[in-house]
Amino acid sequence: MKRDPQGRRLFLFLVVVTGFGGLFAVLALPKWDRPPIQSTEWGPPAIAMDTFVALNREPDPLNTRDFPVPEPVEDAGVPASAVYDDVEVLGDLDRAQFDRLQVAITAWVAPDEGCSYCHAEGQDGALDHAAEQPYTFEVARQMLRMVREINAEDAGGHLAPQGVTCFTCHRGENIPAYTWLKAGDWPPPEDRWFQKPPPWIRTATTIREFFPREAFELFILEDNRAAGIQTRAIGPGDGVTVLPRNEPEPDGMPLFTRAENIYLFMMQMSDAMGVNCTFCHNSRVFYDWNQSTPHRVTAWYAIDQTQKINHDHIEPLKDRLPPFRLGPVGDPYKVNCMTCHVSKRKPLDGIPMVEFFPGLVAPG
Amino acid sequence: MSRFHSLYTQIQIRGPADRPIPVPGRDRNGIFGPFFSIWLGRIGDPQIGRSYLGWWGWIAIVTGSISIMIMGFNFWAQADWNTVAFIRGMAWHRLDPPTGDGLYLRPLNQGGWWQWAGLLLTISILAWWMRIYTRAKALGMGTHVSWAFASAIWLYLCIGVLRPLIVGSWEEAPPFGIIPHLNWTATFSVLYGNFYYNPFHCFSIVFLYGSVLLWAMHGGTILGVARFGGEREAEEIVDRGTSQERGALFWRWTMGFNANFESIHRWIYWFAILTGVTGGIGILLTGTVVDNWYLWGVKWGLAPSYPDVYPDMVIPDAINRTSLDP
Repeated sequence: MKRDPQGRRLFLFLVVVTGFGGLFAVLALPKWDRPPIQSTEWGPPAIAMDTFVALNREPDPLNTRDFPVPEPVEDAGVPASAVYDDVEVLGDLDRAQFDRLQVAITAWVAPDEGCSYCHAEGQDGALDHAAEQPYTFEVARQMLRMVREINAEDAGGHLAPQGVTCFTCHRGENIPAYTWLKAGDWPPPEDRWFQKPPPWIRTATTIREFFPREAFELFILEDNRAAGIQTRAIGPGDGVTVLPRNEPEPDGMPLFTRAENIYLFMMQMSDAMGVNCTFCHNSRVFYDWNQSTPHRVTAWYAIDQTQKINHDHIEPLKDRLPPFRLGPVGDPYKVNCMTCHVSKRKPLDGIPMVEFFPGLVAPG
Repeated sequence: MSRFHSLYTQIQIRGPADRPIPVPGRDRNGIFGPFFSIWLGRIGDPQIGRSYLGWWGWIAIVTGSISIMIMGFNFWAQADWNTVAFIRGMAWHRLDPPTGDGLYLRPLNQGGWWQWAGLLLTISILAWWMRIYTRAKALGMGTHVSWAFASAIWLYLCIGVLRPLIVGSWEEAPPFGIIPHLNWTATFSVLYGNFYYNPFHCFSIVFLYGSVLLWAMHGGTILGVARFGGEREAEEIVDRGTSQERGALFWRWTMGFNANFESIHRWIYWFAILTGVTGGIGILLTGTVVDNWYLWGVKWGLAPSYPDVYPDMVIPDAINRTSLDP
C-alpha cells in the first residue's frame, strides 16, 4: 500500500511553496515606500484631511537637476533693441541682461544644442541673425511672451513668489518631459459597427500616459470649469437645483460623462502635485468652498492659468511647428499640472527662480 | 479518527459514484461526469458531475455567452483587433450605455450594443435563477437559495434597469468593463453628493460586514466543536449533544448570548439577503427622491459641522461667473 495515498505531503509542500511565493511577490514586486511617511493635516482636527509624503521615495530625476543661474552682470546702459535687430519681446531689456538671459535660456532649454537650436548659423559657424531662422526661433519668442505674461499677471498668487522660468517646465529638455496631446479620434458612427471607446492612449508606456486626454481638453484647453456636477439640493424641487436632472450641460456633454472627466482631471492634478483630494477639499462635500482649504483657491487660479497657457500660447503654435513636433491630430505638446510640478507641491520645492531674471516679467 | 480541526481538511471520503435516483428531470439533460478529483476533493466533494443543464441552463448559457461576446468583440474592435492590446487592456475596456433621454433602442454603435448586452445578460441571470429554483423544487428542497440569489439580482436590476426606467434614461447605468464599472461607483457617489450619507448604503454595508462577521463566528464555532461531532449541526438543532452545548456555552461565556444551531443559519441568511435588498433601495432613492445625500445628511443630523479652519480664506469673485457654480 502506498504510504501517502492522497498525496498529503505533496499538497502541504505545494501550499507552503505557494504561500511563500505569494508573500515574496507581494513584498518584492510592487514599489513600496519605506517609512517614515510624513503626514500633514489641513482640515479640522481628526477628520483625516491629510496629505502624505513618502520621504524615502526615489525622486523623479527631473527634480534633482540644478536650476542654472548665470552670474549676475552689470547693466550695459543700452537696451537690447539698440544693439540687435529684430528683438520683439525683450527690446526694452538692458543689453547685458538680455545676453545673460539668452545664456540662461540656452542652459534651460537646449543645453546640448546651444545657441544654434533657435538661431541660424552662417557658413563660418557664427550666428547669422539676418538669415532665415529655424522654427524654434518663433516658438521661443512666443514662449517668452507667455512666461512674461503669466509672471506679470499671476492672478490669485499661484506663482508668487517663485515665478516661472523656462526651466520650470523644460528642465534642460527641448520639450518638457510631461506633456499631453489630444488622442487620435475614432471614425464617426456611420463608419464603424462598434461602440466608441473612451480615448485611452493605447501607445502609452505608463499608466499616467494611458488616461484619456478628454478631461485636459475640456478643462485646461477649452474654457470649461471643472465644477458644477454635484447637485446642490437635497431633492428635486427642494431649494435651488443648479442644473435639473437629465438636462445636458451647456456644452452638450452628459452630466455623468462630465463628472467622470472631472474625476480624471482631479486625479491627474493630485498626482501632479503629490497630494490627495483632501489637500484642497473636504472630500465629503467636494463643491463646498467653505469647507475647502486655501489651496483650492490657488488651484482654481492655476487651472485658469493653465487653460490660458494652452489656449492662448501653445495651441496657436501648431501652424509654426514642424510635423514631428505635433501629435496624431496635429496639435502641439501641451502643458498640464505635471509639466511644471513634477509631483511636487511647488515646482522644484519652491526655490526662487524669477527674481534672478527681471526680464521674464512683463512690465506694467 | 477524523480530523477537522486544521487549516485544511485532512480527510477525503471516497465511495462509489453517487448513482442517479428518480428525481424529475434527473440526468435527462445531464452533462459532464461523473469522475473523481483528489485535488477538488481537498476543498469539497471529490465527485465532479453529473451536472444538470436543462432548458433554463441552456437559455442562461446561450444568452450569457452572446452577451459576453458582444462585450468582448466591442473591446477587441476598440483595440483595433490587436490581440495583445486587447488582453493587456482587459481591465480597462468599456462598453458604455447610451447617452441622452429616452429608453428606446439605440443604433448598435451608439449604445445599442450596451442595451443588447444588458438585455441578454439579464435574461441569462433570470434563467439561471429559474434553474436554481426548479432544481431545488425537483429535489424537494426549500427554495431558500433562490431567494438569496434573488436579492443579488434585485440589486443588479435596481442599478441597471429599474433606476434607468424611473429616471427615463440609460445614461447613468453602469458601463460594462472591469475598471470602468468601478469608476462608475465613484462617479455616481460624487454626482449625488456622497453615497456614504445614504442610509441604505449604510445598512447595506452593515449587513455585508455583518455577514462576514457571522460567517467567521459560525464557521469558527463549528470547526472548533468538530472534535465533538459538531459537524452534525443539523441533527444537534433538536438532539443537542456536547458539541452544541460547548459551542453555546462558549458564546454565552464570551458575549452573554448565543444563537442556537438553527437560528445562526437564519442570522447569516438574512444578513446576506438584506445586503442586496437595502443596497437596491438606496440606489432607487438616489436622484429620484434624494439628489444630494450629503445635504440630506446635514438636514437629518447625520453629517456634523466642523470648525472653520480658514476664516480668512478669500473665495475668488469669479467663482460666480458661470451658471455652473453656486
